[in-house]
Amino acid sequence: MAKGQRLDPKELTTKSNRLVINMTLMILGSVALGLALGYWILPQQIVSHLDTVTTTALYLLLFGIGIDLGRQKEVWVRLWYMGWQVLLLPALIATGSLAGAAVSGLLLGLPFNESTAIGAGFGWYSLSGILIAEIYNVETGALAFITNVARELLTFILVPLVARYIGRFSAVAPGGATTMDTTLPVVTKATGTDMAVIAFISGSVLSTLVPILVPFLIKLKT
Amino acid sequence: MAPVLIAVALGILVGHFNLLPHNRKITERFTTLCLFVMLLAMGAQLGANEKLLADLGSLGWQALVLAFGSIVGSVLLVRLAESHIAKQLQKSREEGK
Repeated sequence: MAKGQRLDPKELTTKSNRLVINMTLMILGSVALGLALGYWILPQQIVSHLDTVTTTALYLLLFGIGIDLGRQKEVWVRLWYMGWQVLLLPALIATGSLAGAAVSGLLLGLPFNESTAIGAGFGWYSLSGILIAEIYNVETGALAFITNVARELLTFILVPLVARYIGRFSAVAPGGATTMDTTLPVVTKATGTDMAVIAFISGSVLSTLVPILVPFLIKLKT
Repeated sequence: MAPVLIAVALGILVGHFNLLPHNRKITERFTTLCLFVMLLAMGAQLGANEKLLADLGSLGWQALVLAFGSIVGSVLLVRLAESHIAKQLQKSREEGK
């Protein structure tokens, strides 16, 4: 999920849709540019200092994300009005994602801490990839990044099918944390506008869990 | 792990109590800038890592399996509780009226 622009579900018009898509393209573009720079241009002395750059930028970014979360009082007010039962949906999505990732990891021969931490990205690829690259190693971080990009892309394809053949609430599940911005339009289109608030809350709760669960799970001893 | 949580927690405190009472756009731009700097640097680290580049094909395959697995797991669990969630929401809506 791009997470650059925070959008209100009501504002999710075609215009902000385009913004989100631009953001996604810019994110993928800057990783591609970085790849090219690292491969062809930058000398090794500079590359060895990049770690300091990513670390500093990561903590500043986390601080900024925290400010955003702290300011989002409307979400918590809405949650209060809808009753705490609304939390059941993101809790199930989180548990199911982790279980699914753990089983997939078993099939692929990945250790439990890696597969579950990657699954705990819930589609927020920029944050989960960087967190794991920073705390654990770059290879697993790259896998987390690609996995969560894939989750977002698969969500766009699968949500209409899930909404139609499986269920309305089930259609909120594939998007994970992304149902608060990038994939919210797809979810509401497939399930109806009354699901917008539920999907938005579910995405917000899952987004809040990412910076907590990913570092916790990757540190688990296997 | 602790520094990550501390950074987020500090941010939440600052955001919640409006300790930096400025335009929201500024934090947004600031985080976007940090994000791009970080992605560029991370991309460069990956690009300079030849072993990783050689593994990119198998990484893609693993990523698809993991992403699909997480989606299937989450959909399955929510499907099991679908009618329960619908009923509860209906109830809380009626109580709200």
